[in-house]
Amino acid sequence: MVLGHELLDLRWGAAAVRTALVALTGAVIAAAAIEWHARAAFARYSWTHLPEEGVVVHQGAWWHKEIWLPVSRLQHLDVVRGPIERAYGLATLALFTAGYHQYSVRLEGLDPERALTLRDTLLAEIRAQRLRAEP
Amino acid sequence: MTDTLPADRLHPWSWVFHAIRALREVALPALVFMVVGRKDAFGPLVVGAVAAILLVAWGILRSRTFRYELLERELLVREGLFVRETRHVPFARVQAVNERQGPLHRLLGVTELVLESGAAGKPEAVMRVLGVAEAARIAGMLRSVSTTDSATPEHATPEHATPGHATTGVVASPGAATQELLRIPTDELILHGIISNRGFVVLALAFGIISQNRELLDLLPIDFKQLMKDSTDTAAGVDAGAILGVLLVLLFGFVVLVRLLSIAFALFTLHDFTLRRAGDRLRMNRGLLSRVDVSGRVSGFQRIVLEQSLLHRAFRRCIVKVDLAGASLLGTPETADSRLDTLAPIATPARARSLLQELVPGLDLEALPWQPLHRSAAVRRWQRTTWWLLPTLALVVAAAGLIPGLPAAALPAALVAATLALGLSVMYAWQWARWSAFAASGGVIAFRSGAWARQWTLVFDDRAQSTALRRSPRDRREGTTSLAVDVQSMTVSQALHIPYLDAALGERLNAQFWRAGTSAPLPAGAHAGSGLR
Repeated sequence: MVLGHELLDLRWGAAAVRTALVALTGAVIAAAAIEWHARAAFARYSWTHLPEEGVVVHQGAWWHKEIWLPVSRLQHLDVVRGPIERAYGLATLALFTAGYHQYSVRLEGLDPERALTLRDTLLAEIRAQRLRAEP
Repeated sequence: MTDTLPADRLHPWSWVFHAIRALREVALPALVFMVVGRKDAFGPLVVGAVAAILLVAWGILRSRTFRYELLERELLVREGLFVRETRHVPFARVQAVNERQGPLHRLLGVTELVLESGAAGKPEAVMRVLGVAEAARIAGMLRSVSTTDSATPEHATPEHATPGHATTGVVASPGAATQELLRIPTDELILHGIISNRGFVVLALAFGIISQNRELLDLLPIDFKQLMKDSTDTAAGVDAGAILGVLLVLLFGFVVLVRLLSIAFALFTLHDFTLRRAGDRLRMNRGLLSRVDVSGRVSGFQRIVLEQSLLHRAFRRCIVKVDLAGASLLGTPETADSRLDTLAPIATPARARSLLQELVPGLDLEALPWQPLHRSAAVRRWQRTTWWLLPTLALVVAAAGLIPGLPAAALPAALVAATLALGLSVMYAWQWARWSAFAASGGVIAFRSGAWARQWTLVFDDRAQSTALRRSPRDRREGTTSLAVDVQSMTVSQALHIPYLDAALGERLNAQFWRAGTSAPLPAGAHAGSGLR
């Protein structure tokens, strides 16, 4: 009886260990993949502000995407700081157009100072363009 | 905020239409549920009476709380029962003036007026309903305003692409002559009915109504139970050929019925289709029972699409569609089907070409310098179909080979069918790649695609909101890219999407959009936002 119990326990234990191992391996692989993707995406992610013209954003780890957004098409700008961003001292600048499928483009992971400066620069550029359009 | 009370009210009959709309949106499903769910004779009557009273009350409240007034440069609207909303709609901002008149509207001498701006989403003002004369006064004023602000029709050049700001007040402009661009005769409408498959819409509607009400089924002159019984009784004595013959006749009858319904549908909805232009303003009328009178601005064009199905090609016809700034897919169902979205429901390619030439000066569809896609396009287009086609075919062949009791010829037949399907898919991809091409001419970027059914998409380089170049791993290997263009219109998919572009050519196209976007500060209709700006 006692032996049987031990055997049962052992078998149950072996299965549990196996399951745990499989789960652990899966989790490690998934975490590694996520980290790799995050690093690749971060390495790829960049944006350029072309003065008086607009903003170009490069993003995507495998599926590269270049977004071209002229200043003249900007409708409004938001500086967003979520709780996680605040904890890390970061900010996001969201650029909105009057488009439909790509009505907003987010510049993420910015230094808050930088986000505010860029927003002010873009606002000034938008205002200058509007003034030129309607004298 | 000063709360000025606008002077004018809606037409006295307005409550009827508010009630009808409420009935359609909320009350009808609830009512049907209650009536169907309850079997005693007393219930439906009481429920119906209460619902009717509620609807009438709702209609009266809604229509009495709506007030408006035409000011010097703007329309003032105040509406709302609990949340009172005051809106200033500057005339210059109004992109579309849409009127819809159903049979009931015509009986009561009223019409529904919807004003849209370039902003996506809800219309600026839905006036349900106005007397015909009053609607004509408002619409006439709005139309005369917008024709003055761009006397020059050459909207394609950036200098003129700033409507909505040149307006100096309400000035009627008798100078902007109205010009008829297109009128569709009845024989063309019949052809449109044959080509388009809208008969299914009518049939589905009828089927839906009948299947919901068992009682209606009994009204049909056919006794289904008897029919079933007869067919089972006689099935034993009839040979396969006769059954096949009957099926073919039935199928033929069905096809003819659907086409006849489709023709009727076209005759009713598109009766007396007229497209007219006065300066920048385009106006379209159509409809036999329900009259639709909608308008939009040529300078608000975001995209033009020409479509040709196989049947269109057989009859040498095509459809010309347009997306205007702020096209609201989210709008109410009524406004969705009564806005300017079709320039020509049916036209010969030559007519479509001349129509486009009139609307976009310098654009000649025939003379566009078409450039082919990358040479890998055919293979990649075919590979896109394989992920669903190959498993499906494998499944069919496996089923034919493995299911017991099938005739011996099943497996070879399945193999032949699979081979044919594969061959067809290869042919489709090859033809697709051969036909698909893009062109840049003047300020227009065109993309044509398709193999059997064809499509032309035209966008204006100064009207893109943003562009995106995408490169998948495969794209990077082949040295290609895809270009997507976003415009100020709620298009179902990207307004323009050109796949399998040579990377250098894609970048050149993108640069053209960029140049136009950065040098033309405010293209037509770029001011979204409501009247409150």
